[in-house]
Formats: sequence, structure tokens, C-alpha cells
Amino acid sequence: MSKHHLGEFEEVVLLTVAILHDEAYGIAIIDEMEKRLERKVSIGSLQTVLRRLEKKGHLSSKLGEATKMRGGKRRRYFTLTSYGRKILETTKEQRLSLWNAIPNLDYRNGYA
Amino acid sequence: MPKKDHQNPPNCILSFFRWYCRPDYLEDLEGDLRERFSRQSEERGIRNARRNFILDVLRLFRPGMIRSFPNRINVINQDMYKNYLKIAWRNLFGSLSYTIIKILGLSIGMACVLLIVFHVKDELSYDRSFSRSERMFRVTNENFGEGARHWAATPPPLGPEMRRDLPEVEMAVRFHRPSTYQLLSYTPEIGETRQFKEEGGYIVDPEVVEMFNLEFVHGNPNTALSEMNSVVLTQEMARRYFGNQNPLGKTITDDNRRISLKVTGVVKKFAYQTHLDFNYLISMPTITNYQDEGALASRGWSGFYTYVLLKKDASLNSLRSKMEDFMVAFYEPHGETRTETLSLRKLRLQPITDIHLHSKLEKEMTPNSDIAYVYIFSFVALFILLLAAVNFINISTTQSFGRVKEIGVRKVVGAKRKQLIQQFLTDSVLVTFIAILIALVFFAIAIPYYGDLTSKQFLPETIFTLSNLGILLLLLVAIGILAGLYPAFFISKFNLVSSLKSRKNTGPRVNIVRNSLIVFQFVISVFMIVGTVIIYNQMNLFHNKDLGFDKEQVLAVTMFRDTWENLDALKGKMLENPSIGSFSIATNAPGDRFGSYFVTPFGNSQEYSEGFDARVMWADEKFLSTLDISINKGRDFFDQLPNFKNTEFIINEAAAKMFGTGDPVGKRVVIGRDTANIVGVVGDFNFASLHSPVEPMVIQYNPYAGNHLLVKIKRNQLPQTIEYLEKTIESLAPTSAFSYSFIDSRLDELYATENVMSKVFNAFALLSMLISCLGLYGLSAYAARIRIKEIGIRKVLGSSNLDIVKILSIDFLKLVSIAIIIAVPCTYFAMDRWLQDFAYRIDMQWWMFALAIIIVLAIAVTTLSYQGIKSATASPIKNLRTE
Repeated sequence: MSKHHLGEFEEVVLLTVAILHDEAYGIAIIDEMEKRLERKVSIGSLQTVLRRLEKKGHLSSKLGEATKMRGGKRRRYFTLTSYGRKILETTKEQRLSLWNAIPNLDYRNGYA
Repeated sequence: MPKKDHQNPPNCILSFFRWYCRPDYLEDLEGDLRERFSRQSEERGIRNARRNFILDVLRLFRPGMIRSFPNRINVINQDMYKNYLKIAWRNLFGSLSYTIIKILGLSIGMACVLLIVFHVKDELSYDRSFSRSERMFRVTNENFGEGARHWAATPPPLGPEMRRDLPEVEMAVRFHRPSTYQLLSYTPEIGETRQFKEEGGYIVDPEVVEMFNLEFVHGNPNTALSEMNSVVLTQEMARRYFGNQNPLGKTITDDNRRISLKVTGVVKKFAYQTHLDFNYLISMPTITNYQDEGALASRGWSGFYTYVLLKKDASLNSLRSKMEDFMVAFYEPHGETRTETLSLRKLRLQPITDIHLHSKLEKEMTPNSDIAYVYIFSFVALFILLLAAVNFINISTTQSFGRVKEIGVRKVVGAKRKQLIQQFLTDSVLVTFIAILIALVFFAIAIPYYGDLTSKQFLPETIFTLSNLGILLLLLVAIGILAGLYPAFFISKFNLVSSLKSRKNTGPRVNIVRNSLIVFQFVISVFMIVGTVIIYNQMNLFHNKDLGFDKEQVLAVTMFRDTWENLDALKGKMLENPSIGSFSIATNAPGDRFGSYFVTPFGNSQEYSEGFDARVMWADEKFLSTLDISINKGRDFFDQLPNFKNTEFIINEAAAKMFGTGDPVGKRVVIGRDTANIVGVVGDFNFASLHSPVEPMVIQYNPYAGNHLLVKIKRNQLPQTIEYLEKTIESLAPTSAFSYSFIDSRLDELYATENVMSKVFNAFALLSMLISCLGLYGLSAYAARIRIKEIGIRKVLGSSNLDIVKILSIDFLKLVSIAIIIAVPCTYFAMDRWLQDFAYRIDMQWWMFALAIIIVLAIAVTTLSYQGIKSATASPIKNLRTE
């Protein structure tokens, strides 16, 4: 069994869900990502990733309250599980260790 | 569109979403979509919101979001098939030799079917590819009364008059063949004259371009055939004379008639099969150079092939009902009363698509094929396929005994009968699939040879069409399933408990179905072999029968105008050469089509009803001696040159019979414009194909008429003598071509179709024998294996090897014998029917059947003994050990 490595999009989605804390549902996640990262996100790709992450156990979800604006349909809120949090941190550490391994951080003056 | 509620997204799109979306995602996704929609309709307007909604729904239509659709009909349960395929594949290699036999048999069978399918399709496609084939007809002319003949050609005025008087006729096109071949030449500005002997030239009406969809490469289709002395060539012919130059405007000369023809067009040959095969077309106005006015106006001369095109909405029946009255009006100027015309004649409209396979009229353009051969070939293909399928079934059922344990286990684990059947069907479909691939390879290899054999062109475009591939697929599924059905059912019936125990579940020793299949196979094989022997003998008869004249080493040299003009010198030169025996000038050589004329006795009654139709030819006084034909009564012609005054007739025995009792010698008869005495009677000789009995024939003396110089060459000096002739003619008549053929070759060509059939039959007989033997081998191998313990015991108790071989083989030999007993009468009837077609036929003799029987028995015995010996020499100790 190989360890699941987070894809770039998956990582971003997880982070956004973490940012939104209790308010992470479909539309809100899209808005947040589009606002912060200035990239277009389609509902389809986002929803696919959300479901996949939930299947893998990185996210958990529950249904919230219905509003009139949604024609009486409830929202589904996603939250990070501890497993999800752990994999985010693992990923972050991997990245940082790579960054630290670069010999000279000062690019402007070229490499040592 | 009615105004939608501001707050609601488009309803139909929403329903579509609700239909495809997974139920557990549905609610919140719909909610998200609606939220988005509301927000966007406020921020960016309703139109934008709607558009984005639609886009979002479409983009959400992806695998992760689509619900799984329940299979309401459980037709194919996908999952098990992966397993079935895996097991089927493994089983292929498990019993490799059986698999090879099955596959080989099937692929040979299918390759044969493929070849024959294409052959038959090709034959059936003749004349169907014109744009209006279903409305095109050829007018034929049937005569009743004395000398009844049905002519494929009609009088010249018929075409135009039909067009004029019958409103249903849109177009009429006539073809006239000025002579069987012509001598044409082209003289370029620089270089030598090129001269060719051409066949397939016709004088045609200009509407031929439109009616037959002629495609012009050079020249104007509308005007190319309107003016006198114009000729349109096919591309191949143009290339022969002019290379790659554009031939428009150049002149080709008809050397015989000394006519200059201007090339006004070049056309492509028909890309598809048709009975109309031409090399060049001459414009109709030119006909005055070839025929005189009297002939052109004649209403009694069947000299033109007339084709008519019906108008689109015209009814064929209404046209047919008008033909009688039209015919009466047509023959009135000929001097016939209405009653006479109606009782003596009938004009028929023959659909153009019927010609190739069904038309055997007098004076066909070229000899046609016969639908009988289509049937025969189809049956042959079917038989071979059946043989292969039978093999397949037999071997599969015997193989199944080896899988008894597997089936038992599957049943225990819960397989339903239906599933077992599905599994074994998969097995057979897989084998069939592999067999088809190999069949395609065989087919690809065989096609060039088959095409040569049947002189057909097999072009890739026509072969690899979508519809053909569809047929192939259908064949695959049909054979795979049908052939696999019986074994599948048979296998799934196995008793659960006894199959799991090690008890030998061999099934009944006497398996009716399997045995009858073997019998069936051998019946077919015997039939094919006997058929081959009989056909071979009949072909030999054609080749070797005494025809009543000497056909060995006789040349027929074509006479051209220049040859005529220098005839005396030529004759002198020929007399000088000792290798040249007799020579004669005649209008027809044996093997040609002889013209048919009406012979009337000259005497008291001048009525039509007395007289008969006979074949007529013209020759000089040396004709009979050159061909060594014996005179039975009267005398030969004598040389009347240089003052030829009185023509004379010599008739054959068949014609003599028409005169009843009494000596025909001395009687006067009228043929055409000539009245003369009969001076001699010769024995019947076969101047035409042996399909028909010898017809009444008249030879008329005329030293000036003749297309052929018949030369009998003595001794064994053929090549030198031919060279001598060639040089002589070249020097005496330099503008003529030297063109000759041997009489026996011309005669052989009459049997071209039978020749093809004979070869095809041979090949298929071989194949069917092969397949049957494969089957026999497989089954006997299996039977031997089953009885291995029994054999071991017998050996121990003292049987010799021979005894064992006998014991193993006897059952199968009984079956083969039954097959032979059934096959012989069937074959007898079938071949008898085929032989009826020939006026001269062999008698089916007992030795032909005996030969075939011996061959079949020999092969069967060899196959069985091989198996028998293998088993008999196996060590009994090894085999008797219990597992």
C-alpha cells in the first residue's frame, strides 16, 4: 500500500476547508479559492475532489440547514478530520524540508 | 418563451440534473447550484446566471457524479465474463492439438465461405451499378414456328421506333458490332505505324453516354458521338495507341474498310461488373460505312442490340401490354399480316440485371454465366462450413469430458445452468474469433489465386467495406453461438455428484448425435470426391472427344483486306512449304458462333412454313479436306476460280434429316438471296460446343468469302511453320497484322466456365476431405484415450497390436460405411442432373464411385490406424496404474 500523496489541487482544497473552518460548503469554498488564489474553479472539479477526499477519510461532512435561496435544499458542510490535518502537516513538512535543502537561499546573487 | 420566475433556474436543465445526479449528492449539489444562480442573477443579471447554470450542470456531468443505472434486464452480467474469458483462454492451451484442429477446421471453412461470398456477390452485382439499372431493359426478339430461336439482338429500326411511338420509353440506345474484330492502326507524325487487332468495338447511338453513365476523361460527352467517323476510346486502348498523349483529334484508321476515324473522346472503363464490355465506341452516323441502307432498314435482320430506359414513373406492365400492337405495326412494312406477326414473333423486355446470369439467347454479346453455378458454389461453401462446424461440435463435446471436475466445482459454488452455458458459449465465441482472424489471413492469401482462377478482379475497396465487415461480425457471432450451443447445453447437463467423484463420466458410448455428425461429414466428403472424379472425366471428354474433324495442329489465321488482295501470291508461297498441308478459306472456324439462317426448299410451295433454321458458313473447295471431314453422299465442291458462277451447298446429316426420306443431293434450296443445289452430305461434326447437339448446317461454296485462313500443319514443325507464315504475310501484306490461333484452343475456350468449376470443385473436395479427417482424427484420438485402460488389459491378456487397431477403428469405420451408402445415391442423382446440361456426356460408371469410395476409406483407415497404433504401442503398465 503506497502512501497517498496529496495532489496540488487536493492540498489547496484541504487548506481552504481548514481556513473556512465551520463555513466550508461548496459555494463558499469556491469563492474563497477564487478570491485568494485568483484562479477559476469549476463546481464539477471541486465536488469531485471533495467527495474523493471524504472517501479517503481526510474530510468529513454533515448536512446543515436549508435556506430559501437554495430552494429549500440543505447545505453540506465539510470539515477537516484529524487524519486530514495530519496529512496536511506531513505535506507541509515535506515541502519545508525540500526548501531547506536548497544550498543558498539568496537567488539574487546566484548560487554559491 | 414564457417568462420564467426570476428566482428559478431553468427547469428542464434542472430536471436533467436531477435525473443523472447521484442521489446522495443530489440535495446539496442542487442547493449549491441554486445559491450560485441566485447570487449571479443579482450581481450579473438573469441571463448570465442562466447561462452559467447550464454550463455548471453540463460540467457536472462526469463519471463521479452520474448515478449508476440499474440493469432492468440482466442480459449480460459483465463481471463473470472476465473470468470466462480467462478460463477459455487457458483451456485453449490446455488441449492444444484439439484446439488447433478446431480452429484450423473453422478457419478453412470460413475462408471458403468468404471467398465464395465474394464470388457470388460479384456475380450478382453485374449490371446493377448503372444509375438507373432498375429501369433499363434489353429488347429481345423471339421467333416461333419453324426454326424457333430467341434472339438477343433486334432489327435496326426497332430502337428509334420504340422511342418514337411508346411514351414510356425515355431513351433507346443501340449497339452494333461491325465484326468480331477489326484491324486498327495509328500513324504518328514521327515514328512507325502502330497496328492492333481489336475486339470489343461497337457502333452506338450517342445517348449511350447518358444511359450508361460513361465518364469522359477527354472530350465532350455531349458531342463526341454525334458526328460521322468519330470514335471514343477507353483509357487502356488510348494508352496503347497514343501513350500518355491526349488523343483528341488524332486519327485511327480501320485498315480493313479503309476508313479514318477521328478520336473524339476517351472514357473510363466501367468500374463495376457489367455484361457490356467494350474497348471503343464508334458514332452511329458512321454505320453507313459498314452496312448498306437495305440492311439498316431491314426489319428481319437481328443485328443491333437494343437497350431501352423506362421513364421514372412509367409502368413496366403498361409498356409490356403495348408491345404486341407495337410489334404488329413494326412488322407491317415487312409485309406481315397481324395474325402472322402475332403467331410468329414476340418482342420481350429483358431487365438488364437478368442478362449475366439468366440469359442464354441466340447471338449474345458475349457468352454469359449461369445462375446454376452461383447456386453450386454457394452450396459448396455451405457444405464446407457445415463440415467445420460439425467438427467443432464433436470435438467440443468430447473435450468437455475432460472438464467434468471443473464443472462440478462450479456447480457446487453456485453456478446456475444459464451461467455454465454462458461460459461455454464464451469458449466457442473465443475460438471462433481466433478462427476468423486466421480465416482472414487465408482469405487474403487465396484471393489473388482465386481471382485469377475465376478471372475476376478483387479490389480492396469493394472488399473492405463496412457492410462486409458487418457480415463478418454476424458470421462470427452466428457460428460461434450456434456451433457452441449444443456442446454448451450438453456440458451443463452433467450430473453434479458423479462428476465430482472420480468416476469416469464418459457419457453413453453410443452417442447418436455425434455419430450422425460424423456420418454427415463423410457423406459430404464422398459427394465432393465423386463429383470431382465425374467432373474431371467430363472435362476430359470435352477435350478428347472425336469431333468429326481434325482439330490438331490447325491454325486459324485472320484474313484482312491486304491479305485478300495478295491471296494468290500467298497461296503460292504456302504451297511451297512442305510442312503446310491443306489450307482453306472459310468464314467460320469451329468454335466460332455460326450465323443462323432460314433454309427453304425451292420448289412448288414458296411458303414460310416449309423449311428450317440452319447454321450457315461459307468456304472454298479445300475446307472439307483441310479439316478432314468425310463426305457421306455426293461430292465435295470443286475449284471454280477464276470464273466463279454457280454457288453450291453441302449439308450435314442433321440437315439432311430435315428433308425427310429421299436423297437430299440434287435438291435445290433457298438461303437468303441465294438459290442453289445441294451437292453433298457430310457426317455431323461438332463445330459448336458439346453443350448442344449438332445442329443442321449448310456450307455454301464461295471462294471469295472468308475471315479465316485455316492451315493444317503437318509433321512436327509448328514453330518454324508459323514463323514462315508470319514472314510470308508480312512481306506480302505489310499493313496487315499476323494474327492466328489454334483451333483446339478456340474450342477449349468454349468450356471456360466448366473449367473454372472443375478447378474450384477440386480444391473444395480436397478441403472437405481434410476437414473430415481432422474431425475423425480428433474423435478417434479421444476415443482411444478413453479406452486406454481397456487397451492395457487387452494387451496384457494377449491381443496383438493389429487386433487393438481393429477394435479401436471398427466403430468409426462402420460410420464411414454408412456415410458411403447414403452418399452414393445422392451423388448419382445430383451429378446426373448436372450432366443433363450437356448433349455429349459421359456415362457415370461404377468405377468412378468405387474410386472415390476407395480414396475415402483409405484416408479414413490411415487416420484411424495412426491413432490405433499409437495407442496399441503404449505401455500397458503405465496406463493401468490407478491415479
